[in-house]
Amino acid sequence: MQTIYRPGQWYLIVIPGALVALPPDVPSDIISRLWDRLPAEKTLASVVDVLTTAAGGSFVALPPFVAAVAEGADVRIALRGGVVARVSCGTDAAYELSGAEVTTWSERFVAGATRIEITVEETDAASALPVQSGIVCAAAVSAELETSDAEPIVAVLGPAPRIDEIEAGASAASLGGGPAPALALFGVPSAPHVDDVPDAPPAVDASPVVDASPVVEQAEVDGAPVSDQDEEPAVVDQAEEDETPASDLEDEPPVVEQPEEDETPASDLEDEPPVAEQPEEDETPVSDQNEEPPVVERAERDETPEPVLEAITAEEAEEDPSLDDNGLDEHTWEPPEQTFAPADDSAASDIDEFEQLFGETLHSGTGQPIGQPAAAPAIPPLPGADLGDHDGATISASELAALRQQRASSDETATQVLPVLPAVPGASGRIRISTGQAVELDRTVIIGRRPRATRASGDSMPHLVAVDSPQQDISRSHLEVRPEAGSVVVIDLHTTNGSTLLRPGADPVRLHPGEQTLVLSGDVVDLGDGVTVAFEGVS
Amino acid sequence: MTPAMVVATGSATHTGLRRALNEDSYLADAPVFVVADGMGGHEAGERASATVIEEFSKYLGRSSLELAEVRVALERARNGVEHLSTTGNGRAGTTLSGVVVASVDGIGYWLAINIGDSRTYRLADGELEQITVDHSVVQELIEAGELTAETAATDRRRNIITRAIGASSTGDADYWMFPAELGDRMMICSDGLTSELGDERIREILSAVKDPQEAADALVAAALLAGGRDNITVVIADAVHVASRQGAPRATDDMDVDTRPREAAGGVR
Repeated sequence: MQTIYRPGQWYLIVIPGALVALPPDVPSDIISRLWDRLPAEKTLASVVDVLTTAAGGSFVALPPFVAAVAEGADVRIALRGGVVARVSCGTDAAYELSGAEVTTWSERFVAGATRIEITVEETDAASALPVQSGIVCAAAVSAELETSDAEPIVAVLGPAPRIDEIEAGASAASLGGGPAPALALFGVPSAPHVDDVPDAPPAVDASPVVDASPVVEQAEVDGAPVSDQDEEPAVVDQAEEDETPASDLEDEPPVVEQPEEDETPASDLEDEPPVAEQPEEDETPVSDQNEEPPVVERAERDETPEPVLEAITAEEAEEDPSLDDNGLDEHTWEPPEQTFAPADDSAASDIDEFEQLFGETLHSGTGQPIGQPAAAPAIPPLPGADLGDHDGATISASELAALRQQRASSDETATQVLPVLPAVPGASGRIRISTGQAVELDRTVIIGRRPRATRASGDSMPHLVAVDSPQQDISRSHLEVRPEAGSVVVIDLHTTNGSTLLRPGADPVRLHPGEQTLVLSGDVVDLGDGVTVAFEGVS
Repeated sequence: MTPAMVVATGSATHTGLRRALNEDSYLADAPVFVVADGMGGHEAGERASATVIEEFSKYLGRSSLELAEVRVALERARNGVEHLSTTGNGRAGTTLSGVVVASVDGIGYWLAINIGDSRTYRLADGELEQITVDHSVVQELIEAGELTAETAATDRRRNIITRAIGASSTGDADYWMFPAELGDRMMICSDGLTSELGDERIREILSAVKDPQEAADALVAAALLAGGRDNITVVIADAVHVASRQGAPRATDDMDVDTRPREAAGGVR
C-alpha cells in the first residue's frame, strides 16, 4: 500500500492493507489495542470489535472513526461521524462515503478497489508525507492499494504506542452533526483526466516497490530533488519492514550465538575441544542426501563412550525387569554394521539406516519417503530404534509412514485435535453481554467467571470472556456459544447453577447441561448473578 | 496498568552425558517461558531451536501477549527454520513447548503452546499436571489404547515425533488457555528430562525445592544422574502475583468447588 497523508490531529493507523483514523481524544488503549490486533486480524470486524468493546456496547460512547480494510482486491470501509472517504476502482468508478448523520456507522464493500482516500479534518496543509506502517497524526490520507496488501502480516510491527490522553471534544464535534470536511485531494485525481501523475497507476499493479509514489509526491511538495533516487530508498524501506522492524533488531537480546558458527567453523573448533568433525566429510559420499553428514558425525562421537553405555545397561536391566525387551535393546549399544543389514536395498536406503541409527529425533510429519520407495516393506525390525533412542535413534519419514499404516485406523483418529470447533467462515451475529462487552461470533466463545480452553489449534481457539460474579453464582466456564453454519447454538457447560434461556413471548427455559440449544436474535441467556448474554444478528 | 502476572523464573540446560551438542534452546523471561528442542544433527538443530527462541524474544518485556501474537512469532519462526533447511546442510527442525503470560478481561492467564514432544507441566497445590500433549507416535498409540503410559516410557518408537517447526512439517501448534493461580509453578522441559525422570520424581523435586532456579538445577542434575542420554533443559515459571478481578478468588482451579450453589434455584425449569 502506498500511503501519503496530510498532517493533522487525528490518529491514523497505517498497516499494509488497512487504515484506521480515530479522533485525538480517543482513549489511548483503543489505539494500542488496534495496533496490537490489526496485523494478525486484519479485518473490519476486529476494528469494530475493539471500538465497540471499548465503548461498552453504547453507541453514544463510540468515537467517530474511519476504518478501511483491504480484503484481497476489495475494500470494506466503515465511517462514523463527520468524516468522508472516497474509494476508487481504477479510473472507472469512485464511491464517496460519509459517516455524518448516521446513528451507528456507515459501512460499504467496494469490489476491485484501487485507492482509498479519507479526510477527517479540514486542512490547509499542503504537505503530503509518505508512511508505510505506523501511527501518524493526520487530517487526510490517500492510499494506493497493492496486491501485497492482502498478504497476512508476519512482522511484528513494533512496540506498543504510548499516547497522552487529551480532553474530549474532537469526538463530540465530529459526531455533532456539523458538516463533514471536504475530501482533501492529493494531486492524484481519480477522475479520468490524469495529467501529471504517471507514477500512480503503474505502481499499483506492478512490483512491490512501494514508496515510489509517495516519494515523488513529497518531492513535488517540498521541492526537494529526490526524484532521481526515489526508488532506491523505497526498496530499502520495504525490505526492513518485511524482515523485522529495525527497532526489534536493536532490542533483541543476544540469545542466539549459533549464526556465527556456520561462517567460521574453524574458530569453533578452537573453542570446543570435543568437536572433531572433519573426517566425516570423507565418509559421506552421498552428498545430496542432506541428512547425512550430521548423522555420520554423530556415529563417530557416540562410539567413544561405549563402555559407559554398557555399564548402564547392565545396571538398569537388573533394576528394572520391565526393560528386558525394549529396554535392553535400547541401552545395548552396538556398532551399526552388526545391528542391521537391510541387505537388499540400494545406497539410498543406507542413508535411512544411518538416520535410524544415529540421527537426532527426526520429524516425520508429511510421511514422505526419504530416499526409499514408500512401498518398501521396511517396517518390521525397526532396527535402528533398537540401538537406543537416547542416542538419537531415529526413524525415517518413510518408516514412520509405514508405522502409522500398521495401525492406520486408530492412529488417524488419535491425531485429531479435540472438540472445539474451528472458526466458521461466514458465520454472522454477535453477542452482547450485560457487562457491555460485545463479541463477534466468528468463533466459539466461552463465557464464565474464569473460562478456559483446552487443546485448540490456533484457528479453533475459542474466544474467552470473563465476567464478574460477586456471588460466585456463575461457573468458571459457564456457557459455550458456538456458531455453526447458518446458526448459533449455546451449551451450558454442566454448571452448578445452570443457565436459563429467555425468549420473548415464551416461558424461560433452563438449558440442559451439555446439550446444544439453538438460539435466535433477541434471545437472552441468563447466567446468574445478573449476567445475561443477548444474541444479535443471528440468522 | 498492573501486569497480568508477576513471575519468578529459573532455568537450566545441559548437553547431557552422551550428546556432543546441545541442540536445546530456551527463553525464561516474562512474558515468554519456552523450550525448543532442535533436531537435524550437525548444527541444524541448534540453529533451528535458536531461531524459534529469537522470534519469541522479541516480545520480552511485554506485560502479556495475545494468541495472535504468539501465532505471528510462530509463523516467523517456521519460515526461519524452513530457510535454515533450504540453505543449510541439514534438515532442521525443532519442538516448542511452554507458556506465555496472557490476559483475559483483566485476569492473568497462561497461554500454553506445544509442537512436538517437549512438555509443559503445572504444579499447583502439590499436584503435577501435564498440560501439553506430545505430538509423538507413542502418544498417538496411547490415545488409541495400544500402549499404556508405562510401556510407552520404554517403547522403541518414543522419540518419533509427528509435528515440528520445520523439518517439512506443516503441523500446527496446540494451544491451551487457562487462568493462572497464585502459586502456580509451570515447568517446561525438553524430552531429555522426561525420558530420564518419571512424573512422580519430577513432582517430588518441584515440590521440595522452593527456589525456581534451584529447582531447575535440581531437575537437570537428577536427569544427569539417571543417565543424561539427551540434552536436558528445564525452565520454571512461578506465578508470584496474578492479576485478578473483584470477587474472583484464586484458590483451586480444576474443580468448580468455589461456585456457590444457588439456594432454591427459583423454580426455573
